[in-house]
Amino acid sequence: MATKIRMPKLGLTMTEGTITEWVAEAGQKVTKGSVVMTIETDKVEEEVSAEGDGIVFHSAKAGETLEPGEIAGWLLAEGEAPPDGSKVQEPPPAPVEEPTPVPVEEASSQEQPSPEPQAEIRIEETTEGRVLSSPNARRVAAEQGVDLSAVQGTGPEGRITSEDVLAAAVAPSGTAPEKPTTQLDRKEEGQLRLVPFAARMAAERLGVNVEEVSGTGPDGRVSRTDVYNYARSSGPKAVAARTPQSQGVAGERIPMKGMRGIIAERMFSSLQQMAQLTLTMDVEMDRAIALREQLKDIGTEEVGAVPGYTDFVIAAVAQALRQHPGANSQVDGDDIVLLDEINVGMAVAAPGGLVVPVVHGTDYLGLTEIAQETSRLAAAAREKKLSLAEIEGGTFSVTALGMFGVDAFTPVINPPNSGILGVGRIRDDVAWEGDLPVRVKRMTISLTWDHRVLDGAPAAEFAATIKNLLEQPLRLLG
Amino acid sequence: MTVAETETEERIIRYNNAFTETLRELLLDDPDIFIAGEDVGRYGGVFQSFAGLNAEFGDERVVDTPIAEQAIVGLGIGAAAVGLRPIVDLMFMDFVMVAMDQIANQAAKMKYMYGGKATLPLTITTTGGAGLGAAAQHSQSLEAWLIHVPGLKVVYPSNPYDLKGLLVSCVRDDNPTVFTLHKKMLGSKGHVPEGLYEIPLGKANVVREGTDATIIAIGMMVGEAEKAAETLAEEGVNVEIIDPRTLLPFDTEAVVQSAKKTNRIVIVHEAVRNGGIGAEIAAQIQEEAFDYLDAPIARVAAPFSPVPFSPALETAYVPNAESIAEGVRGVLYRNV
Repeated sequence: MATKIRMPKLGLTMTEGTITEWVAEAGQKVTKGSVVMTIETDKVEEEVSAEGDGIVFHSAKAGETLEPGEIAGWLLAEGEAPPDGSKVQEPPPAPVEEPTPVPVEEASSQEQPSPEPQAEIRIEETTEGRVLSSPNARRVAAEQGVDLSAVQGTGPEGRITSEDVLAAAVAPSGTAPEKPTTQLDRKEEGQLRLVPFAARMAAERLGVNVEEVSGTGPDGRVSRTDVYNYARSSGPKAVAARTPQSQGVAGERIPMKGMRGIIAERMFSSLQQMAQLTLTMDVEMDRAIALREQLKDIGTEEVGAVPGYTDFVIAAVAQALRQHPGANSQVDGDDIVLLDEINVGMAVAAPGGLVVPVVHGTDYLGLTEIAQETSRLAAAAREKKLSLAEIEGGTFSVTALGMFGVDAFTPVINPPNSGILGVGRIRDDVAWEGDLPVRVKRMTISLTWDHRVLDGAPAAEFAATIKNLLEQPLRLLG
Repeated sequence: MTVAETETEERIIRYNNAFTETLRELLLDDPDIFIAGEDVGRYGGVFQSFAGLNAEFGDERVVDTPIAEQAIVGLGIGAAAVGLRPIVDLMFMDFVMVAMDQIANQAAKMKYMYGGKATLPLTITTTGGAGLGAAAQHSQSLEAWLIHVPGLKVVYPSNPYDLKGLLVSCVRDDNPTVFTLHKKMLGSKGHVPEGLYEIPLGKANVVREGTDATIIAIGMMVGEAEKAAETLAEEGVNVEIIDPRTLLPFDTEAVVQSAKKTNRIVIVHEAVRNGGIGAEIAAQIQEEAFDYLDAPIARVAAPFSPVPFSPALETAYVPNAESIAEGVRGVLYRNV
């Protein structure tokens, strides 16, 4: 009897997976439990095992992207044809390659903040999850090319309705939908304007003033189509991370999917949805460098782990966040929520893209404890053993480009955080002691924050607190 | 030239009077038509629905029968099979059960059993529904039992105008039909033209056009749905109301079309929810328009219990404008 080989569902947010490799070639006999293929999602690489014995049949090729549950292949009996009528495929030409572990670059220069280890993350536990959506929502989503996983539902238990899909099709993704109010609009003095519920719901979701929408229905009745058309024509033009239509541009094409797609959407929507701006501030690092030297002299055995410069910054950020709770916040609906925990995430460049492991309870950790935690996370990342918990729950992020010679830049906030701190290189610079120039080690920090949450002055004060902590690094020892 | 008097004033009469008037006009129109039932003659019917007919048309055409529902329907079947066009009355819909063997095994099947050679132009009239404190054995809505029988046509008018047009179509149809009045609507009024006209069987009526949700209501529930629609309009909700009018054959196309338009359906009937016609309608809609639904199809119906005698409980038992509006809010996810 034929057994399906399906794309597994790994985690709640998985919407597609790519077959990276068929470990078992077409026609190969396998037994239950043996690995037949490897897949990758935006977060995970995973091996898929045979659920029974049989001869492997490939319905999809390596490199193809499937939705969870879709059939990648079959396990067949001798002489059996696949039940779905697929044509037999040639064994894939790609030779089986041993996955090469990604080398981790160690901090090589004392003058630069340590680059974080390159990491890929493997989620150990899989959970069964399902996006609740109405049949009509799925139909409309297919018509509109809307990814349901990116739509917020307004029905019971977050069920997505067609209105949610249509709103998502024209609104920046992630916009928090609101329950519509119910009063009728008065277009002019005493004149009742007919705005059906569905249109009102759409308008409020999109932030469209129904007064401005001209209705095409009887008596100037505004339909929801009118609202969507209005939002399309007058709202922000580009609302997706991708261009609406391919222009057929020549050149090598890299599909914007998987991790690349997620990064594209998250970063794009981050800039679409927040009022982001960046300030830079110089920090003198001589004392931090001296402290690090002392800790190095004492040795790893006694101190646990010698902190890198990113660890100094993470520690300073955590302490500063305690003093400036507004920076450790998240916008939720109409409110700014000052978060109870301080969990600083650190942006890490991995081969596939960006990963942000999180140091939980950062403000309760001393500098060397933070160093131990970051090196533990680094090791976990090296061994692909980061758990979901270790990449979730960040309340603020730190990102470093100093190792590439960058002084200042404009980091993009990692939603739903309200701020991110960029760390530049440590450089030789000149300071003045009276009339005398002296040589100092200087580093520039770049703070991007959400102006909805924090005005310029408090943001500058927050940056100054980080600067002061880094210039008095004994405070960071905890 | 004046434009006055081009439109005559609407003729407003009661639901019950529309019934009597239609019967009278039919009796005048076709000598093959006769009426038989308990108390329909001298007494004029328990609700006076047949008042004056016996006096005008005599004992041969408006016939008082013994209290024997099986015999009444049997009489109708026999008369229909040999060429007359009988209208037989079962005073209360609850009594349909007594005659069910005649209705389901004889009337509905005769045409099939005789290879299409028998025609059975029989109309069975009856009154259903609660609201008059008539208790559990005189208040039921049993249309779901009837629509389970192939060979029948089942009709349930919701206003005097439809009553006349549908009754004419039933009597003139060559198949057995069951024509249900609602007791509590007998006194309700509406526009009814003089003279005979037909409303085709199997054709639903869009009572009110809307965009946000569709209420499919039958019988007295149509009026309640219209009241609910007014309340909902004040809340900005624009509902469509469909009155199927004929329950068998059912106008699936009309409700599917509406489902595709509004994406949300509330079915309202006075019969108990369990195994009611709402279940059948919901099933048909999801078969034809599954991909157009934004919410599970909702049913507003009576609880699964006999109709209570206590007036307070009876009021609570029968769906009304308020519970219908609540059902609509439910499919719009506005009461969660």
